[in-house]
Amino acid sequence: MAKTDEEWMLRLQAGDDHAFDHLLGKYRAPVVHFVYRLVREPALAEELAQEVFLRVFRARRNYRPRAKFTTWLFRIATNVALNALRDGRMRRWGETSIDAEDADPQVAQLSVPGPTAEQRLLEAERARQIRAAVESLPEKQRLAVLLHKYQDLDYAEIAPILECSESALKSLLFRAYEALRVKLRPLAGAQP
Amino acid sequence: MSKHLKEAEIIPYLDARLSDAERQRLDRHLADCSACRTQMAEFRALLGVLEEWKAVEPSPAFDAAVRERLRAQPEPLPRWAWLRLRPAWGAALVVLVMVAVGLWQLTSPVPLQEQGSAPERAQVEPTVVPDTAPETASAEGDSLELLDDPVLLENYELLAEFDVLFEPVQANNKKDQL
Repeated sequence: MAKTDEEWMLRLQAGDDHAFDHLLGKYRAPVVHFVYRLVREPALAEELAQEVFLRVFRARRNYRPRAKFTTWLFRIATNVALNALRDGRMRRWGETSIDAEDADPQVAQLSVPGPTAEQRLLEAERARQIRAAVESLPEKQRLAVLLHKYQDLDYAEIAPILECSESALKSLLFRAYEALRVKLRPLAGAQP
Repeated sequence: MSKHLKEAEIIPYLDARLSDAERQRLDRHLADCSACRTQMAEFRALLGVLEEWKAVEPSPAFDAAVRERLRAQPEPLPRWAWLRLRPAWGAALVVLVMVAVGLWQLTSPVPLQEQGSAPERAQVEPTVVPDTAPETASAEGDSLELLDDPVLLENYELLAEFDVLFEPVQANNKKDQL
């Protein structure tokens, strides 16, 4: 019978280490994706995502299923990533070289390969503009977009992570998407 | 024409998170309002554009790295463990304080209750012996301690000072200095 994430976490709390393997397998990629979009450095994102799972394992004894597991997990991920940003464990947002990231082989590999080199360059440039637009948002709006658009969490999961009400979250998301709509209007009208 | 769309309902509309009644109301408005229709179309296009930003995937060694870090970094003690350790810490602290006080007393050049020599103190603080002093002294245990001390009883110079019977501690100190 399928178990909820909260039930898996309670099994881990009871000493079943296989429950940790299950949660790791299910949320490994989402956590890496989320942290990567915040810190933008693949190696650091991987290290920080590992730190998130370490914290999950070590907090198992104190875990209480008061909220959804995803809320708890992404709150940990948010704290870990933001702390890394603020501690200077990476280049600051504005100082990060986008060219360097574009040259990263993982990113290049994951960018949907076009039929030609010119097509790939065009896609890389569009991705750069999208990334820059999201990163230009205030921190809370940026987190809201990452959790809503890219992690596909629902409002009830995101609001506690950002410590706001669901109605405030909806307004926050509107303002974030409105800003992105203006900034990315040229891209929306010119699909590759 | 009905009111324009509220900001808090645009994203839920695109997410299909509105109730049927709300959705129908917005649909009716969008059918009549080209401005809101254009805005909604742009939001929908934006969500499509955002899909183009891809993230990195975890490395194949991700799980092994997590396991290794769990093994390499000792798990911090739970909070209750610190509570369990506190009595031991308290006992250690008491012993430490006792040792420190003992060492201080052994190495201190001036006795704890003595700030000057007995003659000096006698000059500064002349002793006034009340008439009822003998009764008071005999009523207290201090005088008995003096009488029980054979060394003190043999020290006639000391006994010549009557007041020592009322200040046994000072008398002892004076005896030490003599």
